[in-house]
Amino acid sequence: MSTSVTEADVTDADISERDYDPSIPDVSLLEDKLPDWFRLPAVSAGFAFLMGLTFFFFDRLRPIGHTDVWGHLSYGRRLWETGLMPTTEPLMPLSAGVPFVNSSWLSQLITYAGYLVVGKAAITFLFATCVAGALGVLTRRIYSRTHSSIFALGGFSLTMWVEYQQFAVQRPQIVGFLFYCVLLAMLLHREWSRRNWVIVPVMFALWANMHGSFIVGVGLLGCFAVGRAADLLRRTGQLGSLVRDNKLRRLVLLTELAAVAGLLNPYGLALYSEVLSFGSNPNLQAIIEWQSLTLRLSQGQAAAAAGLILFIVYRISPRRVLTAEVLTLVVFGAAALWTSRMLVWWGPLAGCFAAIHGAAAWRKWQGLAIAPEPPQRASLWTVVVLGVTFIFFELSHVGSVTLALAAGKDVEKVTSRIPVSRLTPVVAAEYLKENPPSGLVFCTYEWGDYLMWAGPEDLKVMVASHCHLVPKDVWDDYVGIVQLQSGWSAMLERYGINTVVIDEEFREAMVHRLHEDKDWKLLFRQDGQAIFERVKPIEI
Amino acid sequence: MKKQQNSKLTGFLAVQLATCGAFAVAWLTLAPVQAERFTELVTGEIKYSPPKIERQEPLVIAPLYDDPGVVSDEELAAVLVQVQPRFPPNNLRPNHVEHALRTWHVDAEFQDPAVMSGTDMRDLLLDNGRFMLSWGPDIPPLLEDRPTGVYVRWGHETGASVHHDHTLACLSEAGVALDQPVRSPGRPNGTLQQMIEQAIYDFDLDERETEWSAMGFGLWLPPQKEWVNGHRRNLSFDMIARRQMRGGKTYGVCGGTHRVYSLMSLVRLDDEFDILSDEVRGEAMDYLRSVRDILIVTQHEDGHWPYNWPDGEAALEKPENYEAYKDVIATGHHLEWLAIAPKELHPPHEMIQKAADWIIENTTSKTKAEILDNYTFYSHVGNALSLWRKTRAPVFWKKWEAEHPFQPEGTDEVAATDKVDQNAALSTEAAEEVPTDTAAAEETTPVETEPEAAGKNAEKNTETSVEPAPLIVPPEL
Repeated sequence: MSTSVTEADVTDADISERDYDPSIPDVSLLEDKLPDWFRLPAVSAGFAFLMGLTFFFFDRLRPIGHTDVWGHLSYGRRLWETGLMPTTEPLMPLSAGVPFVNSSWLSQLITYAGYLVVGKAAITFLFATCVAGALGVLTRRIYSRTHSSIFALGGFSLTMWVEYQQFAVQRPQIVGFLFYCVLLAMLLHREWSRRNWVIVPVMFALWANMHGSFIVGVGLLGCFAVGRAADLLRRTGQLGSLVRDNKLRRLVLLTELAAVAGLLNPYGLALYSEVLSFGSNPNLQAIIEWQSLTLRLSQGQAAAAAGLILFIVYRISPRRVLTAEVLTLVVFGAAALWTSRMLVWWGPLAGCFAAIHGAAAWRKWQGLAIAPEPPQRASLWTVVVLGVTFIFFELSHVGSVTLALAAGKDVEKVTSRIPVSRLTPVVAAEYLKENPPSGLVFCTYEWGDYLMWAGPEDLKVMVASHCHLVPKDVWDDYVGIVQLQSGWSAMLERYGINTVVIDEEFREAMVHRLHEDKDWKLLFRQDGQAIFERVKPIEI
Repeated sequence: MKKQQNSKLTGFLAVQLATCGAFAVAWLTLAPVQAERFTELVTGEIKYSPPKIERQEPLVIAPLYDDPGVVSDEELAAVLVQVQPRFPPNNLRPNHVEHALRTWHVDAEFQDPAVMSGTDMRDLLLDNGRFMLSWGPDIPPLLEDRPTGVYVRWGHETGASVHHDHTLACLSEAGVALDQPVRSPGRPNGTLQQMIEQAIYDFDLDERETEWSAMGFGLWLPPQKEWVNGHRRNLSFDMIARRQMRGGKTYGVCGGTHRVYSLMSLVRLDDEFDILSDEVRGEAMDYLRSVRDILIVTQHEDGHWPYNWPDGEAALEKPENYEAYKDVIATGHHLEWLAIAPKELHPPHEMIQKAADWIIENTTSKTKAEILDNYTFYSHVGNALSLWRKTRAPVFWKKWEAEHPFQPEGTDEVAATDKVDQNAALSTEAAEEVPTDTAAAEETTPVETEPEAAGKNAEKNTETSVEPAPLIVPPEL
């Protein structure tokens, strides 16, 4: 319930009863002269704080991952330095000639540009902004549909729970997640805005250049269009209703516009081939996040719980269940079961639909009005929201960098304090930079990205985390080596590998075997990172 | 109201047209490779355009030296008679036939009817009917019809070729033409071109053995330097050359020696077609020089190079225990690539002579059965020594048989082979006694047990053996 007092509520009697000091302005008498669009409900301040906390958590408290984030940055660096869009994989020597459709080129370029300005702070800032932005848009939409801050918070929490594992690594997918949430929020909006005709295609044109998940957005629109058509047929039983329905026509047109906008990328239609065939790359089978979703995974448990909540909520909800809801939950849920990486697209649906139907069930149970009065809006809360936003911005790494810049302090000192995952091979990369190895370097695919990024300029790693670009034979051999399969040592020799960079925590067995092997000597060891060198190097 | 509805419908249809138009334009602007990939994705059918092959005959990498000091005519004849394709007709192993064919070439003809001719060997590999005659219906065919060409079954299964693209490489080295009919089950009217296209389609740069593909592609694809395989991976001779140099030298077929031979072949092809970048050519030459340096320090006193030659000096200091035939592999194969290598890449000449002496002695001292047991390795000896006389085995042999006609004795195969051994006596005097002109040779040609074969051979014997003009110009020596 809003507690703000408007001018109309204050009577002359009230004024006369007070100790009136004309030198002090009475704020209660101030008229809100700012335009309506600038005004926000009081609950916005709470949501701003929540999103600020979310932003703070992902910016300040989560370290930068040790995997593909560095690979993306390396691709961005290459793009920046050469100004060319490579047609074949440019960084991993064993992937030479492999066709490269870089669906994330714009995100990589933007991140690298940000890196040039504020260092590593750009990574955390962009990532945290996308997460907070996406969840903020979603939470706002839930609130606008339920008018319940509790259920909005519930929807936010459920989404966050399901998605948490997906937010573990800073990668361009987060931009896709942001666009996806914006699109979902648009589709769940009760009113249609003409601006959507511009926003949607522009968003998809950007999306297609920032991450390959734009195809999921097209799929979401398609599901809503099909769902609407099914609802119409179910209600009217007439095919003619499909032609007459404005909403269906809008959805179909939007889907088409989105699909066409997706063509506005450097690869054109080839981007479609890439994203549609990406999931069938056999190398991905070795990566846990691309395997089926199971209850053994924490995100599988979260998804199962969310599924149970949805089941209960749908059973008790008095709201009409739209076919689009069922369709999207089933389609994206099946995709998530097929490969857990797809769970990222199911989480927001679960959070939104559970909250919307949960709120309706709650209102019915409590006997509350189906459509409560909208909250009062005031520009005061907009100012509060901006203030909260500013505070959290200043608390961010980028905020620290800007303060350091303003104070003329050493920015490097600030950015060096930004934590990276403890599994990041920082000291190994430093060692290699001072002692560049010759030939191919073996490391786990997770480390390949960072070594390419921070190691010596021409470091040649066997594989990195863009494993879909690694030829299958090479990938199979890599898996054979890392799992110490029979002949793993000979495999290293076959590839002419003279240097092995390995983590002692998760590859203890390999470290042990290399220690015992007289053909290898330990060159460097620190912070759980070990570098071995072949005693008699293979001529390159 | 109706007017408004009509305009909405018109707008809707206009957007449909615009959408289709946008995708049509996008389709038209796709590069051919991307268009194929997209079509494949949509239709589920393989779409692949192989590179165009601009020649009808495979290239020949001409030998560079005619050095009787390495091998004399008589020694070469004695070795060649040992490695004649005298195979039992049943269950003819493709690997043996392939090795024999690359040594003897498709134009090989023998007066001894027990020996397979070049065309017989070619047909066994390229005609499923002929293959079935040898293997029966229970063994899967050697050739498989695929949407992208003719696939050669390879691996360790019965009746399969052992190495990937070995069949293609051998057929190419044997001089089989591009339009040579290939009859696989389901595709009776194929040609060698389809076999090459399939090889290009399914070649992976990182598969275990790439030596044969390197040879096959090298002899057919130049002057093209780059092409795309079935995975749409851009490949080039640079990449294939680097692949030959990857990793420890010991890895690869036959103790790593085939990689050296393939690399040397690519360098020779580069002399004429510039298929390698300067950088990669430099790397290849460095690699070959390093092999030469190893050969200098690993030759045994008796002249052979050990199988573990990549170990360098350690191979002499701590010799490994392995089967004796492996030294034949190493020595024979090294002599083979050295025969097509510029002198800069040679160890001292006396080392080559010693190696040749050892391998000649080793080969000629073996029985036919022993040779047959290790035919593949000994076939390389025959080819290597022919190359050192700047000739090819069939050309030399035709000339030799004209002067030393085949003398059959008895009807059983072993007796006949033994007689051939006698014919190929190492005595120079004996060789000089044999008439050298063709007419004399015809006179001394005995009556064949198979009239048809005899007629064919007699006809062939009237032809003058002419060394084919090398398609690859030898570099300045």
